[in-house]
Formats: sequence, structure tokens, C-alpha cells
Amino acid sequence: MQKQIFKTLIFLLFSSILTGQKVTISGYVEDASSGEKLIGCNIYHSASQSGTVSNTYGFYSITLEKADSILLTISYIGYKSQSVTVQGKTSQNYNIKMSGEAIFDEVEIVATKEKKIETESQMSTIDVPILQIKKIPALLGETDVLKALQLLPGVQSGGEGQSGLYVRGGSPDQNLILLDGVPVYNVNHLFGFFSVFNADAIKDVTLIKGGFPARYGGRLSSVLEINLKEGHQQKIHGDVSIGLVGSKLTLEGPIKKGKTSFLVSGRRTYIDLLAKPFIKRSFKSENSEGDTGYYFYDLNAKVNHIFSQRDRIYLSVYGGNDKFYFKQKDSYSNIKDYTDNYLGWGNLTGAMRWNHVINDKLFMNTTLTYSKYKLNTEISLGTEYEDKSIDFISLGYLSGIRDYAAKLDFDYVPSPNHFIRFGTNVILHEFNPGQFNLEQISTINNTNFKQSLGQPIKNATELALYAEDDYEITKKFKVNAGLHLSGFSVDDAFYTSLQPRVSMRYLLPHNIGLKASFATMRQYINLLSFEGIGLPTDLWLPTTARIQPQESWQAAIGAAKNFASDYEISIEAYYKKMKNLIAYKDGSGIFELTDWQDRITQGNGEAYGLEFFLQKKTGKLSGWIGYTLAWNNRQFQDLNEGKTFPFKYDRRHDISLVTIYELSKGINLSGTWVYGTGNAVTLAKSSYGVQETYGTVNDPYTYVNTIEQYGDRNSYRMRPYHRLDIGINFIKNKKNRTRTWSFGAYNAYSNKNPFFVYFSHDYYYDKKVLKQVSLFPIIPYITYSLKF
Amino acid sequence: MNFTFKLSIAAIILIFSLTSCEDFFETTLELDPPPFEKTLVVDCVSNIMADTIQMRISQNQGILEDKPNYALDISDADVYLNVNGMELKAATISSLDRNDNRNNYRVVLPSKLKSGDNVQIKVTHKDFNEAGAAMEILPTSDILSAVFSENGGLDRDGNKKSKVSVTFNDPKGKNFYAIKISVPNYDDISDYTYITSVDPSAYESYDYETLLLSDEGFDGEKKVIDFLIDPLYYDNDKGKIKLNWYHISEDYFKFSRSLRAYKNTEDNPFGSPVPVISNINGGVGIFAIHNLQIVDVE
Repeated sequence: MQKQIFKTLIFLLFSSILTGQKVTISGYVEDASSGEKLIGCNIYHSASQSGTVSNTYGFYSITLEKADSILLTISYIGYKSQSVTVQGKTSQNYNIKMSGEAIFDEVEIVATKEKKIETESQMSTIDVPILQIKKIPALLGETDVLKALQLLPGVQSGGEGQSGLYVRGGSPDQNLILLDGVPVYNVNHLFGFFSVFNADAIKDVTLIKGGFPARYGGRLSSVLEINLKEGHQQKIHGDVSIGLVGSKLTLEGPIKKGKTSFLVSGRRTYIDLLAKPFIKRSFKSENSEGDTGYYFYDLNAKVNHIFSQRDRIYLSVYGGNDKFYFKQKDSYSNIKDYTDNYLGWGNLTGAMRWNHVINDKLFMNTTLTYSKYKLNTEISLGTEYEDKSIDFISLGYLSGIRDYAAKLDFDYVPSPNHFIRFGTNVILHEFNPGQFNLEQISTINNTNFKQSLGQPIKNATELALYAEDDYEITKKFKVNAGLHLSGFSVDDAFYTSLQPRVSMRYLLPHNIGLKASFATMRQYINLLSFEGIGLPTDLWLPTTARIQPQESWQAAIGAAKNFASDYEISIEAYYKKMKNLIAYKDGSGIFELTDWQDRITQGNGEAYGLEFFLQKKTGKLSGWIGYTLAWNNRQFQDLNEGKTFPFKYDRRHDISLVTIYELSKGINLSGTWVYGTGNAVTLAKSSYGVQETYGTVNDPYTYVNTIEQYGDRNSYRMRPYHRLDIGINFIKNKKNRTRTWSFGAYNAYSNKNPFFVYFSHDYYYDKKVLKQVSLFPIIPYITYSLKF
Repeated sequence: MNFTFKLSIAAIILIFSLTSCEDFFETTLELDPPPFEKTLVVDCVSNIMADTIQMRISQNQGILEDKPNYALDISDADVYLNVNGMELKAATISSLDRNDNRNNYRVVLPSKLKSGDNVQIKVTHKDFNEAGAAMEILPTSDILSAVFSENGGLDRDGNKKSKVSVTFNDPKGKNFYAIKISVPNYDDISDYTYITSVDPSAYESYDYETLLLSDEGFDGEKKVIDFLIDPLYYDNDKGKIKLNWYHISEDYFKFSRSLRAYKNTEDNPFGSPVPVISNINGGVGIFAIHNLQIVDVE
């Protein structure tokens, strides 16, 4: 192993000598008008039939045989492709500016066959088209990246309206969600009905479901990489949108033209503000004073500065919070009672990234990040008496996670056949598994009591080292192979894991890309959560000496092809085995003072299935059809008597249809239709009586308690879920601005989709019945937005 | 364009109107309940100090049925207890004789049961499949001492407690115990007290007067365990404390824990339902006869 690393270093140091007969063209690819860096842009040299792509920061490097001149063809989706001729005698920097009024006039763009799916060695990856996502209808008009991802094959939603992603049989905590390279721990607002990502600030979204490249680690099921816009380099631009539940404002522009730019984007809901007068009146009608409400907000800010062709720096911050509050003050004959309760939760993340071009083939990115998720709730009750004496009691609960991390990543492109990445990272985790704070003050009894109960904060360190090469062995055969070495230190335990990753592509006749991949993953942090709802009480907890790290391996095989210029089709089969998954033991709850390790149990999981994806990316009619046939099972020694049972989100069939139709230059219509097999739940089949004995030693009595008898865990299927969303956007371009009116409806045919089922007593007919609760009927929306 | 715009506004208004007309958020489903099989319910829990073994024989009912428990009692079943190969037929207990006892069958034992006895229960009825279970009476535990201390420290909730420290030798292999402690109450009547322990081997039972113990962490070892109880009402009651030490089967341990867990999640909308463990073949319920020792606490 050490020899291999040494050889690689030697190779890197002397690479320029080894490639003495060659020249390297390198630089950045950016949008001509905004200066926004373009990720994954294709740079192709037709003479040698070789090419490369720009990396996450828009940097590219291509090494070719010396020539008088070199003709490169550059293409990127939504932009006009262009051919440039550069001198080919010496290596040089060449920045590429791509033009095309892609945002406002997509129909006219000449789409080129860039980043052909069949040529990529990577499989199970989807570059999410953010422009398309913005056009599709959304719940209450709030464009939501995570919900749009649920429309892709292999990705499932949880309950009605939830943002959680269940990727290839995994659970939401097994997704590594990176916002500008920083892990975001809680992606939910309002119990998961909205995600924390503001689509107006997002530049690019990539989802990896399998065949994970070695540079990623720490989660079992997926990697979702979300990059924020960098800010327009030339002039100030803005985007305002006003919706039914909230409004958004995004501003971007240069601080110093061509050198420094910024982006600020904010979003806040305002139902609490609109309802305030009514709520106050309601309290008043009960001779009381008070206020109650709920809101959430997000704020993204980013600054980037270009020091030179070689050095750039990015600073980005995200802050978001949810808050429920309830305050009430009552007065009765000189006694005042007051209540002040709140429940708040939110994330704060920050990242500083330094891009440095070491030489024309070697690119370095250094990242320092901070990420915090905190849940804070407090209930306070007080009484103030006539003589000013007081009784006061307050109970608070605090939990969360905080990370400090440093990352060093290198991209090395020695030749068009190789794209080598290597790097390392370290994360310092600080887990707060939940602390109760009790405070009691009474001037009557002269009491001042404070006590903290709960479990101590736990620190852990996670390390990783990786190397991978995307190697085009022949024109037909390409491999991405790598190793990810990870370590985790907590208390006296230290875990290590070497995870091999490989994905490959073989080009069959008719340009059909045959692909296969294998990846092992390990996850050292766990989310203790009740299945189904993104509750803020969900706890992030570390692997410990008792709780083993979660592990998985996944193998996939598939085929992909582009055809008829703008269609893309892929079919993939996968098998995933998971180990040491965690779940609550039967009967355990959230707000318990016992050690959380006593409340959980570990078991195994297995998921397999087939995914079909047909996408049309451009043109008047665009969209996709996704279908997943899947099986997803769990086996825990402590659950279901040790027998295998289906995971709650074991969904045999999952279909999504997404269409966007450009009716005219200013009007587009959109619709999505989803269908999914009903969730698996545990439902009682019968009931019987069990005797319980109480009473004193000499006088016992027996009570017969009725208990419900369940079938196997998750053996009952709820009704299938299906829903149609429709939308229409009216776009009008005026001088220097574009306004859009969006109308639509979520669940347009108002299907009563199951959220949960329960047994109840119908008093009218005096009988026991099975009831289903459906959350959202048809929900119309209207949104106004203005870009300037 | 203007026309389209107006049309859209009209559509939105129509949609809002539709929304306001419906009771959307809860729907009573016209669904059949999950299928179930009618089975016998056998509920027989006793100990070796008993002269008679009593049991309740009943049936289960579909989840949408709502009959009271007494209506599920079965009085015409054939119930047999087999002790070391000797079959004893149970007699029915009339409802008048039951008092506060719900058992509807009993077997009078020729002699009390003892460690190592093999006991089987078998229930037959023309309308149901045969139901039954078998077990061996577990050995008496080697309790070395049981000592009371007034100052037992604080329990997990921060309440002041007294304690009973028990030292015993745990035999090799899987062993499970249930503990009850009786103390005189304020009327000087011997009553089972609320009992807890901070020992990781201790688990809650379905009632708060019993604590369960698993020897997983101390298999085959000498073990000292503290049981926390409420402080005594009167100082001179110290000599009246009794330790009820049950050597229980694994089945009963699992049953009792699952019943506790079932109760914990009964009203929890986010908890996964907990099945109550049964050890009855061909039916449901529990069959358990514990080895019991009653020890005076010093």
C-alpha cells in the first residue's frame, strides 16, 4: 500500500517530464454573461477523439500531442456549443466563456450531445436539471429540489408531502447531503413538508445513487451534491417571488467586476404574520392575551473572489430555522398566570473554499466547514401574585450535532485518458444526545432550583483518505476505480474501513453504454428517528463501542444510450446489502432519560430492484418517465421475532411522469403524475384478553386487559398512492426584467392518499372502523416572481 | 393572453371552492380488516407454591369486533395439565366462584410442583385448533442475602429511595428472574411496592410492582443487585419486608417485556406497534409456572 502511494507521488512530481512531447490546455469554463462557473462541461478534441470535463469548480485540463493549432469543441447543456482553436505548441491557460440565453429562452438553444450518458463510466448518477425543476408544479408553489428528486427512479418519498429521500432502499439519514461541500443534517422545514434548500440560490444538483466514486464517504445510500450560485460577475441581478405561504428574494452581483461577486438569498414564510390579528382577537375573546404561530426562514449568502488565474476563494453561509411559539397571559383577581412555550430547530453551515491551480494539470481545493443542527424547546409556566411574589417553572430540552471539518482535494489530469482525484478530510463531531434543563423559582418558598438531566455531549473524530482514477483504457472501455479509507474515533473505540469502489463502462455497438459498478460504504453516524416523519426530535448519534457502524455494499449493472439527439434512456438493476442498521427497540420512545444505546437495536437490510429512466432534456416538450420495481427488507434480531420483514417504504412499483410543454414563448405547461405501491404498516388483526394481577399480597385481583394481536411487522399494505400536479407559467420579458405568474394545483384530482391508518370507534353506527387520514386534498397555488 | 389569464384566475377560484366543500383530511375507509384466524387464547401464569393451577381459556376476535372480554370466555373446552406424564383434566370454575379472579378452569394438583417437573398444557375445542405449551419448572435460586438500607440514593427521576440489596449465585446458561418486594402499607397491610433498579440487567415488567432481570451480563456469576423501593412508612416495618424471587422462563420474560413495550406505545402515534409475545402453539397467550422463593429481608 505504502509503495503504491509513493509511486503515485513520484508519478505526479515528474508528470511534466514524462509528458514532455505534449501540451496542456487548462482553465475555467464559465457563463459568458454572469461569469458563473460551469460544472461538467465537455471539452472535446475531435482529432484525437479524446476529451475531458470541467470539475466542480469549472476547472478543466486537457493534455494533447503538440501541434500548430488545436481545435476544441466545447458543449454544455442549455448553451450553444462552440469550437475554439488554440495554439498547440506550448501549454497554456485558456478560459472558455459559454454563451446562450439559456435561462429565458431555452427553446431556442441548440442543444448539443454533451456529456453523453453512455460514455460516462459513472453510473446511477443524475444531474438534476434545475431549470426543469423550477417549471414543474410544486406544493403551494414552493419549488423544492428534494421533492423533485423523488420523481426520479430509485428515489422514493416517505409520507405524503415529505421531503425525505429513500434511495434504493436506504433511509434519509443514509444520504450525504452537501450544500457547497458542507453536510446539512436536517433538511426539513415544517416536519418535512418543505426542504431547507431555496431553489433560487441553487446552481446545480447531482444525485449519486450507487457506484459511489471513492471521493465520497460516510453514508450508505446516496450523495446529493448541491452547489449554490456564485453571483453574477458583471451586474446586479435579482429574483423576487411571492407565494401563498412565503416569499423569496435573491440578489447577486459584482462587488468588483470580474473579480469579486456575491449572492444573498432569503426566504421566509408569513402565515404567522398574516394570522396574527386573528389570533390576538381570538385570545382577547377569551379575556386573555397571547400569541401563537409558526414560521421558518432560510438565508444563503456567498462571496467569491478571484485572486488570480490560479487562486480563487469562496465563502458561503447558510442559516435556517423553524419556530413554533405559544404565549399566553391570563389575569384573575390580582393573580397573573403566564405561559411561554416554543419549539425551534435549525441549521447553520459555513464553508470557506480555496481553489488553487498548482500547475496546468493539478488542481487543489481546500475546504474548511462548519455545520450545526440544533433543536431547542422550552416550556415555561409562571404565576405572579398580588404581593409581587412569583412561582416559575421552566423545562427545556436541547439536542443537536455540530461539526468542524477540513478537506483537501486534488484533481490531477495527466492525460485525456486519466482523471485522478485524491484527497483527505477530517471531521470533528460533537453530538448532543438530548439534555433536559429544569428551573424552578419561587419567592414564596424561597426556592431557586436548577437541574440538568440527560446524557453527556459526546465527541468523535472521523477521518478519510481517498484516491480514484477515471481511466479510459480503450475508446470502448472506461473504468473509475478507487479506494476510500475511513476511520472513526469515539471514546476508547477506533474503527477503520477500507472501501473499494469501481464502476465501468463498455461501449457496445450502436453506442449503447453497458455499465457495472460495485461500492462498499460505511457510515459512522446514525439518525435515531421514527420512520416516516421528519421530526425535529430526530437525533444524530455516533457509532460507539456498543453501536457498530452501518455498512453496505451495492452492485449494479445497467445500460444507457442517447438517441434522437435529445433523448436519454437508461435501465439499471441493483442489489444492496446493509448491515448494522439501527431502529428503536419495541416500546422505546424519544423523550426518555435512559441511555439512547439501550433504546436501539441493530439489524440488517437488503434492497434490490430495477430502474428505468427515459428523459427528454430539451425541446418544446421535455420531461421524463421513471419506473422502479423494487424490494426492500429488514431483519433485526429484536424485532418481529427475528423474522425478515418489509421496510415501511418497501414500494414494489414506483412510477413518475414529468412533462413540460412550451406552449409559446411566454407560456409553459407542466404536469407530474406519480404512482406508488402503498406503504407497509403493522396493523392489528385481532384482539384478545390477557390477565394482569394487581392488589395486595393477601388480596390479589386480576384484571383482563385487551391487547391487539399484530401480524408480522409491516405486513399490511396501505392503499396505493397516486397524484397529479399541474401548473402553468406565464412568462413575460420586459426591458431588463422578466416576470412570471405561476398557477397550479397539487393533487389536481384530489385523490385521498393515505398518510396513516388507524382503528377508531364510530359512535354514530356504534362500531369499530378502520380509518385513513389523508393530508392534502387538491391544493392550488399562485406565485409571482420577478427577475431583474 | 388576457383571456388565458382570466381563465386561470377563474380556474383557481373554482378549485378553491371545491376545496372548501369537502371533508378532506379524514376519511373512513370501506376496507375489509386484515384477515385473521380464530384461535384459542390460553392464559395460565402460576408458581410452585400454588396448590391449584388456574387458567383462563378464551378466544380472540376480529379487530373490528368489540365484544367485552367476558363474552370471549370459553366454558366448554377440554383442558388438560400434564405433569411428568400424568394427565390432569381441568374443571371449570363457575363465574360465581371467581370473585376477582378471571380464570375459568383449574386443576387441583396432587402435590405441589417442584424444580425439574415437566408440565404441559393442552386445550381442545370442537371449533378451534388444539392449543398448548410445555415447560420445565426451573431450579430454586441460590440467594445468599437480601439486605434493606434506608438510604438507597436517587432513582433515575431524582427521587429519594430506600433499597434492598440482593446477593445471589446465578447458574450457568440463560436465566431470567422476576422480583417483587412486599412491605406493609400505611394500613399495615402487606403490599407490593413500586420497584426500580439502575442496574442495566433490570427491565420493567408490565406492572410497576415487578422487575425483570436477565443474566446476560453476569451469566454464571455471583451477582449483587440493588432494588430501589419507596421509603418505608414506619421505621419498625423494617423486619416485615419480604423478597418474592421468581425464577421465570425466557418465554415469560419476553412476554412480560413485550407487554410493557406494548403499553408504552399504545398511545404513541409515532411508535411502531409492539406485538405481545405468545408461547402457545396453535393459539395465543402465555403459559408459565415460576419457581418462587419468599425471602425475609434483613
